[in-house]
Formats: sequence, structure tokens, C-alpha cells
Amino acid sequence: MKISLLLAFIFLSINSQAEIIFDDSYVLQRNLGGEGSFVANFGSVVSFKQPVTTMSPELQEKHITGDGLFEKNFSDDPTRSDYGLGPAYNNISCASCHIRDGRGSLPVVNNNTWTKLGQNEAIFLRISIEPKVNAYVANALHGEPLPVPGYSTQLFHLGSYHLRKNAPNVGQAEVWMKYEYTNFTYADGQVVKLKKPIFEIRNPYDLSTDESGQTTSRIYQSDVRMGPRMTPPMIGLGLLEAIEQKDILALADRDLSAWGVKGRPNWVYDVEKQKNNFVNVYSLGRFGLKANTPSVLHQGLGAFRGDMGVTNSFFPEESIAGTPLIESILPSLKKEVNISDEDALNVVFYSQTLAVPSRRQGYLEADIISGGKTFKTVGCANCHQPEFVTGQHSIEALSYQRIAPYTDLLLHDMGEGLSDNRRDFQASGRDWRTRALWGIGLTKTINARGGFLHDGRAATIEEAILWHGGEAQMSRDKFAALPAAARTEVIKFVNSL
Amino acid sequence: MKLVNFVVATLIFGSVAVAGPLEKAVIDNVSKNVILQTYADLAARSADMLVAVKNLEAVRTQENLVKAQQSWIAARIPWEASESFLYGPVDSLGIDPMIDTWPLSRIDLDSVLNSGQKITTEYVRPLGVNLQGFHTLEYLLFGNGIDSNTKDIASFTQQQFDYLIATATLQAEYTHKLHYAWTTQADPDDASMPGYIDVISKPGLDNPIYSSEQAVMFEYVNGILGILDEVANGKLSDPLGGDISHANVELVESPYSWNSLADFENNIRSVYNIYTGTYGTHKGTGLKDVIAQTNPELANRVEQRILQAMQKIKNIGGANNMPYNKAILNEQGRALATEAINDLNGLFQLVESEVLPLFQ
Repeated sequence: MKISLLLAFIFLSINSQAEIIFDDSYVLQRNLGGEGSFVANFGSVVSFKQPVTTMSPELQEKHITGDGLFEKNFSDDPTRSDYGLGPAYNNISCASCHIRDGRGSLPVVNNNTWTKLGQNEAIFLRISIEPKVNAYVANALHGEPLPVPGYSTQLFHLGSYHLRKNAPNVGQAEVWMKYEYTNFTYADGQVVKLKKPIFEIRNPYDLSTDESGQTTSRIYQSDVRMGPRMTPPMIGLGLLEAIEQKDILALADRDLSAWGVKGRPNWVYDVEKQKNNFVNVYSLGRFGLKANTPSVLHQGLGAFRGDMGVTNSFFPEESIAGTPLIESILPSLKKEVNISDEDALNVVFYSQTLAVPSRRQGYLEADIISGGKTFKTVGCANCHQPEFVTGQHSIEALSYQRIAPYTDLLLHDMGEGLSDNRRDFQASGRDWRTRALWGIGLTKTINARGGFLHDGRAATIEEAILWHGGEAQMSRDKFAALPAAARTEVIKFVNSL
Repeated sequence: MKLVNFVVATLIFGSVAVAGPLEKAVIDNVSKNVILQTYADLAARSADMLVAVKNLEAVRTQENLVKAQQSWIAARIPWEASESFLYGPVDSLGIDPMIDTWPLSRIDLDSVLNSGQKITTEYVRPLGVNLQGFHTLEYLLFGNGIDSNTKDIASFTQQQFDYLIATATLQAEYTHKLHYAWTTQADPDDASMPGYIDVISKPGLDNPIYSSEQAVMFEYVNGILGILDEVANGKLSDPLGGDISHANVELVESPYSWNSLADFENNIRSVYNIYTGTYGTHKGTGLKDVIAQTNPELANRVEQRILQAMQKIKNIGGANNMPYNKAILNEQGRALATEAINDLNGLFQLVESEVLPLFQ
């Protein structure tokens, strides 16, 4: 924070034309993650793997301990000490999806033929059913996703070898993927090729043949909704948690009707409240691509149980508990949860305390500053809110920090092009939580194939912008209407974050 | 406005050295003669390993088993010597977990071997990452590693031979892809993407990943720090436990071949290679030469500490050349392991506090 303020002071003092007014000072802020930012002139493959720098040595140690568990490969062998994987899962460690704590990438799809999601993918499908309205009210007052009977709310494409006799290492079903391509053409004739992954489910475990000879599965029924989820970066999560609820709700109260923008909070199930016997077990959603989880703890330990099948005291049941798939394997599973509270909370701490990298060399170049100003004038900053001061957090280093996450943590209708047609609490299929942009310019440094948006479809920032619709349509159109040089400036600004 | 920005930028970045011919030469040498050559050797030796296991299956003798074991050890060297530069395609193509996931799932592997299924490459390909790669091959070639690091050729089943060939085929395929991604096309889905060698050895403002020579060298140093930390505080420390009663041999990597200490030494060898620009008999310029321009004493001190760390790891085995899964159950071995860990952490501190700032 100090460096940024100093910079702003220097800049304002020597800029005789005073073109940079205070409201635009965000374009000058270097340490987006506050005083604990990881400051470096260059990006590196480990830029997202740094602890908040202002923590005490004891807390740095705790962070490193959590890192060990984040990187740990779990085993499905009950005789081993690292047992806990599966029996149905999407990957074998946190770090296998969160590649170096950054974004994941889609599988290699040669010649755009249907390709089976294999091992070590950073994407999976969320699933649920959408019953009639009355049934919905009765079963899910707050809009909780309803599990697909016999499945759950997540499709596990991997499984222990012995989970399915005729489909080794397949979980509930195989997931196959390829792309649909479209072109976007600017008024000046420039064409950008856009791609969107589409998915197909094959070989579900409950496939059966009815009396008429038709094969069917519950996952193929018309009320099933599904949406892909690509792993997001891990940086700055504790800082997002430290933003005061009132500041987020204040953003929801803004009148941005002239832009067609109306951010909404998601109110979601909170496992910590449940564990502490609260009557109201719902909290403001902040994490997950639809803001469907309230805290780093809930998000992280839910992913342990969900993505890897590693149970813990917050999520003690196997992810496929109560479904026929688990029955044959049930006797071989250990009864106790797979990781201790100490381990679980160390991983949560690790996830809360990954520093946001500073902006790099060159971030004060004229075209980047110009792009930063245009970022606001075309409306990007309506949702990609650049300025917050955090409130008090249990981790002192995260408290009272001036941060620039570039998100309002609210849901926005992003249009049909991005819709997954799947409800998640108050989020509709078209709704997504504004993604934080801090560190986004390092995406390719960390993972050269890293993809943007909820399913990793966008290979570049430009593609991601062009997919914006719904409430972001006006901003997208204003961006698209800019001269090519101005568009490049906006992209350079985003890449400087 | 540009002038103003330049002034501000100078204030902030004034300490960053301007890249000269030496920096360019270092990047060229390290990228082409160290990194690329390591991957070339990995691909070639993995192909050799496939030949060796096929020969073993064709002529089932103890001698051919030893040759296959030696081919595994030979392929393991460049892989472990690549772990200070785990950036680029090895991550973005997901190759690291496909060829080196630890632990393997022995319970699942036994299930596969006893399943009665015909074991082919295409059968193994979609199986778990914990059923493929170096450690699966290691277990099949060397046995369980408890009392010895070899097995009787007579104990092999046809299923084990089939699994060996299938896994070695995939290993050769993945390592070839990795080399190809560095030389020719970094992203198989993007024909416009050059080989990663061009990405890392041609930094500049039009490079989406490395904007300058300093950025590349910053990456080199961070890679060095990463593997120093992993060897000290993961590979060596995790199995060691706080005391002998908490030693956990399950956590020792490469326990079947008893090759753990050689693995770790080669990890630090990869640090040495990047630092000095050395690979095998090749000697070029490395990070050391850049540091030596302004601080030759530091440049030499770091090199000596790297060599010392390698020696400390080698020492853990003691006079009897104990494998690490035995050494951690032995007081002397534990003391030597602790010494090596402390030494590596000292080297980490040195690089972090005195080398990294030169490139930050």
C-alpha cells in the first residue's frame, strides 16, 4: 500500500495536466493485494505460490505446512497413511487441478474429435436436477442445487480401479469433450475465433435397458442440469473473505440501471454455521464461480470431499454416499474421516494466505494507464470493482488492507452465451460471480495453456471480454466499438494486473 | 505523459540491470544446451527403456531384467535433473503427473494384474495417474523394495510383462511429446504456438510470458528455489518424521529401486546445471557468470554450496550405501539426513537472500 500511495503522490505531483484524478488512482496501484503482496518486477511460474509477506514467521511456517497437504497426492489404498482418495473423484490432489495455484486448462483435443476427460484434468461438471417450482420450494427453500438421484451435485468421472467392474478407473460416468467454434467480427473487420467446450456423458454407471429395449440412465433425464467448472486461481482468497459484508451489499444497492447492471448477492449454505448449530445456516456467498460458498473453509474442505473424495469433519460423508455406486465398495472403506481437523485447517490457512502478486515492470507505461482509464469508461469497473479496504479478519495480515481485486463478489446475468442453465442457490444458469482480475496477467506465465472464464474456453483476455453478455453486454459493445489501438490498451491494462 | 511515466518507472525500477550480451548468451545456452538437452535425453532414454522391457519380455533372463532395471535408472537421471525447471509444457500439458505420480496405487495395480483383462497400451492409457509412469515401472521391475531392490525373473507373470510394455510405451510417448513441445509446438491445440524453446529463449515485449531477459533469469532462480525447498522439506523431511518412531518409509520416493538418494542428488544436479550452464561434458555460461560480473565471491560461494549439498545427500547412505528407506530407520542415517536438510535449507536461504534480489 505504501508504495502505491507514494506512486500516486509522485504522479499527481509531477503531472501538470492533472489528467489522473483521484477516482482513477486504481490504475496506479501496484500492490493489488495490500501490504502483504508478493512484490516482483517479473512474473514467474511460482508467482501465485507465495505466502502473504507480512505474516509472522510462525504463520509462514503454518502456510508451508498447509502447502504440503495442498500438494499431496492421496491414495485409495486403505493400508497406506495417505489413504483417502475416492472412491469416486475428479483428481488426486488439490495442486493437480490448481496448477501452481493458478488456472487450469482444458484437455488437448486433437482435430476437435470427441475426447474423453482423462486423468489430471482441471475441469469437471456440476450437476443437479431442476424440478417443478412447487417441488423446488418444498425441497430447497434457498435454491440449493438438488442432487441428481443416484449421483450427487458433482459428476465424478474418475473412480478407484475396483469401483466399477467393467469400467476400470471410471467414476459415475465418462465425460467427453470437444469444441464449438464461432467467429466474432469487429466493425473494422478484425475477426476473433471463439471456442466453447461442449460435453457429452457416456457410460454412466446406472445405464439400464427398459422393457422397450431403450437404454437409459438418470443422468440422461430432461430435468438434469449440468455446468462445467474450471479451477480458478488461489491467490487473495483470504483478502476476499476479509471484505466486509456491508461493503459488498452496498455495491448491490448501486443504481447502475443505465448500464443494465444489477449485481445481486447469493445467500448460500454455510457448513460452519451448521456445525455450530446456528438456526439460520445461510451466509453471503463469496467463493465458487456462482458465489455458491461462503468461506474459504467451506469452499476448500467441500472440494476435498467433492473433488477428491477426501472426507473431513466438516464434510464427513463420502461424496457418493447413499448412491448405489458405493454399495459394492462400502465394506472396504474406512469409517473414520480421511484427514484430521488440524490438517484440514492448515490447508484452509494455506488457501487464505496466498499472496497476490504485485503488478510488474512496465505497469506505468502510458498505454497501460490509458487502457486502465478506458477500462472504467466502457463500464468494466462497474462489476470488476477495483477498490476495497478489508475489514477485520482472524488473520491479522489480511485486516484493514487497501486491495484491488477487481470484483464486486456479486452475481450478474452474463447472457445466454455463458449460461450453463443450472441454478445454484439464488444464481440462475446465466448468473456468474464477477471474477477477480488481480494476477490475471500472469495466467500464461504459470500455465501456458491456462484458460479464462468458468469453463476455460477463452484462450486470451480478448476472447473472454467478447464472451461477455447479459448485464455486461453494453460494456462489451463499447469495448468492441473502440478503435483497435484502444482495445489493445484495455487488454494490456488487464494483463498488467 | 510518457516522460512523466519514464521518470516514475525509473524511480521504481532503477535497480534492475539492463540485459546485455552475457544475459542473452546465458539464456541461449541454458535453454538449448541444458533444458532442451535434458528433455532430449529423457525422451531417448525412455525409448531405450521401452526397448529394454520388450527385450525382457522376449528373452526372460535375469541378465535382461538387470538391463531393464538399468534402463529405468538411466531414464530417471534426466527426469530428476529436470526438476529445477518445471515450467512450460511439462506443466501445461500435464505430463509431470502422467510420468511421475507418487505414490502409485499398488492395491489397484494388483487388481489390474489379477483382473484377467488383456493388458494393452490402450487399456492402461485411461487408468489413473497412480497406475502409470516411473513408479509403476519401478515396482514391476524392482519388486517391493523391502528386503532387496531386485526380483527373481521367475516371479514375473505374463500380466506383469504386458503391463510393463504398456506403461513403458506410454512413458516413451509422453516424454517424446514433452520434447516435441519444447522444440516444435508448445500447445498441440494451437498450431501458431512455437516450441517452448522459442518462448523462453526469445524474451521481449511481444512475448506473452517472458518480457525480458531478467524475467527469464528470475524464472531460473525461482525454479532453483522450488526444488531446493522440495528436496529439503518434502522429499527428505516428510519420511524422516520428528523422531525414529515417526519415520514413514511409505513416503520415500523411489523406494523399490533404492534409487531415492540418486534422485535427490540429481534434483540438485539440475540446480547446478542451470546455475553453471553445464550439462554432462558441455560447459557454457549460466547464472553464475551473470552474478560473477558484479560479485565473483558470491558466484563461487553459491556454486560450492550446490556441490556441497549434492555431497551431503550422497553421504546419507553412509559407508554401506544404504537406501533412504533404510537410512531413516538408522540413527546415523537420520543424523546425516538432518545435516543434508539443514545444508539445503541454508543454500535456499543464500539463493533467496542474495541471488534472487539480483534478478527480481
